[in-house]
Amino acid sequence: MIAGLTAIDIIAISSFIGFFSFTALAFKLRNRSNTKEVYVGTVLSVLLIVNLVGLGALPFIDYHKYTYPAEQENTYQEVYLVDSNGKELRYDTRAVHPNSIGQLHYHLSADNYDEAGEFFLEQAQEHRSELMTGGPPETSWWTFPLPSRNYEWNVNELNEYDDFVAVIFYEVTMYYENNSHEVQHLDREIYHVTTEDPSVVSEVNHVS
Amino acid sequence: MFRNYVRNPKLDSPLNIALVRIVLGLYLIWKVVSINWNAVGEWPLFPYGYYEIFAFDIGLASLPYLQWIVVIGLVCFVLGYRLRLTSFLTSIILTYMSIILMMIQWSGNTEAIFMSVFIMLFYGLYSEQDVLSADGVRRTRNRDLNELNSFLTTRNLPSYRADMLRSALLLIAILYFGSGFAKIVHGNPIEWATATSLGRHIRSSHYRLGIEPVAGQLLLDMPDILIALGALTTLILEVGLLIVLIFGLPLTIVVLGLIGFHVGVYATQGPIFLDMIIVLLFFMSWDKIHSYISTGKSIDLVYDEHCYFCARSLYAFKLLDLNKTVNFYTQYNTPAEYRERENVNFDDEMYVFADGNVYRGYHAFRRLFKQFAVTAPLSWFMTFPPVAAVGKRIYTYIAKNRDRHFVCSYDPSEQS
Repeated sequence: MIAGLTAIDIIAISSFIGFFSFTALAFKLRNRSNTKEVYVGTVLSVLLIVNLVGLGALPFIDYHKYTYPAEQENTYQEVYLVDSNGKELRYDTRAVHPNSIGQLHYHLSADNYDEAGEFFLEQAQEHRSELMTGGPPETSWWTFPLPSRNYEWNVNELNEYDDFVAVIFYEVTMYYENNSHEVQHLDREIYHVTTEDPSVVSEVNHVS
Repeated sequence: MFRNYVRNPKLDSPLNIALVRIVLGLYLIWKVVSINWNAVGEWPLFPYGYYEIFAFDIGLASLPYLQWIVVIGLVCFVLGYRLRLTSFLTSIILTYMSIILMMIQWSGNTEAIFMSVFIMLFYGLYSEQDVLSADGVRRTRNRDLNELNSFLTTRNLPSYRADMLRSALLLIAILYFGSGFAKIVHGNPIEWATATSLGRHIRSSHYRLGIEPVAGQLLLDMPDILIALGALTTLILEVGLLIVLIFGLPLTIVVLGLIGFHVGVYATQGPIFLDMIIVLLFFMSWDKIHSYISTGKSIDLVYDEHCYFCARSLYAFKLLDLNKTVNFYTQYNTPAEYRERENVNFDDEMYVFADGNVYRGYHAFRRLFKQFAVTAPLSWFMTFPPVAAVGKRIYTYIAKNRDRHFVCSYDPSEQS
């Protein structure tokens, strides 16, 4: 590898620089015959290959969504806050806008969880105080909608909670009934806890 | 209702090209200003860190400033000002910012920015086709006065190619095709297009997001056969768009189906595909809608034939006149009934004769704006007294000083 760069780094840089160099060249030579057709043809061909294979490098994207049939088991992650009385509240993702904290645990190493937890706790406290003082939430009526609707706090709900002191990352596994989309049961296990006061978490009434 | 630019990129008017550019630019401005780039730059770690090589300190710290540079670039893009340069530079910066964002929010919402960057670059590449733009008006300086006069007074306009829209439509179709292809080849289409699979996907998103949309519950309570039919239709529409474009099959039903699918996802799960709804609307026959809602009543406009500035100013209006309802006259060929009127001096001001009324100067422009659906709101705005007061002063200043500042009067003998 070049000077400590990984293969992914090299592909990422090459894709970015290569694409814009090619574009600059096409813009420069635009008046020559067929330049525009070659440029558009090349860009669309690369995009087609990326979309057929399902592997690409930005800015070449694929739009593969919900590609596979849903399995009978499905695992995802939920984030909860804990107040000083051990009471839990589901995380309002507007606090960490623009992230939607959907599947963090597939992409973070265990070492990074405390860092993420501290950040989530800090952002949650800030977001809470904004909502309590009538300040603007991280997303307003005029902002472009987040890709997904998420659980959102309201002031009345927040009044029932003391200071947040911990963040719990749960791993939730959904089990569906055979040949059905009805949920049979959920398993919710603590995946990681970030707190300076572990005693609070031991008193948590875990959500069912 | 929707145009297949792949089969026929020719248009009777450049309106669609300009409208899509404006909507694309405004949509990107909306997205870019909606994101807290300070927060993006301060994120402690990247859950999707494939592109961490781009997350160097100066780059992250610059994001809030780059945001406003991009907004300036996008405003120029909306206006169609120096399209090639603005589209290129704005695309580079926006791509860099979106790569950082993608490492935090790996979603279709972010991917749509990359899709838009490609469309912006197609506009830059084919910028000479976008004549209803600031660049288009600037380029009129390369045409002499006779040429402009003849353009304004002719009844038949040339056709306009829209290769940027053709390329954009193909790009969108490839993305959909890839999505459908992956479900068929990488996945298992038989299992995918069942009520069980689709229902589980929807229910899983409800649990994951902590929401219970009413429409989502209603959908899940529907008979399995209907849910499976919805899934199968989605698969057919995704793969079908590219095929329909290439073979010239009816496009509207497929695009409406895709929009319906995205609206359904919006109602049952959230605005996951909102971007795609906006992008698909780019390919509506906006020219036909504009033509339909613009007034059909003819007006007569008289301008100074020797005024180069006047002819250049009227150039964009001529392009908007899809219904051919504006009769452009000069002081020499205007109908006698107008020439013989008292208190009329065609050398001093522009005139519009409409509905038995005479509009001059600023008010003539206001009446001209009212003629076209896309500019009618401006006409209404121009009636506000403060706006009218400023507008009249500007018009009077230009009219009086056009020889001095605006390269206005031409000696017809020089034009031969």
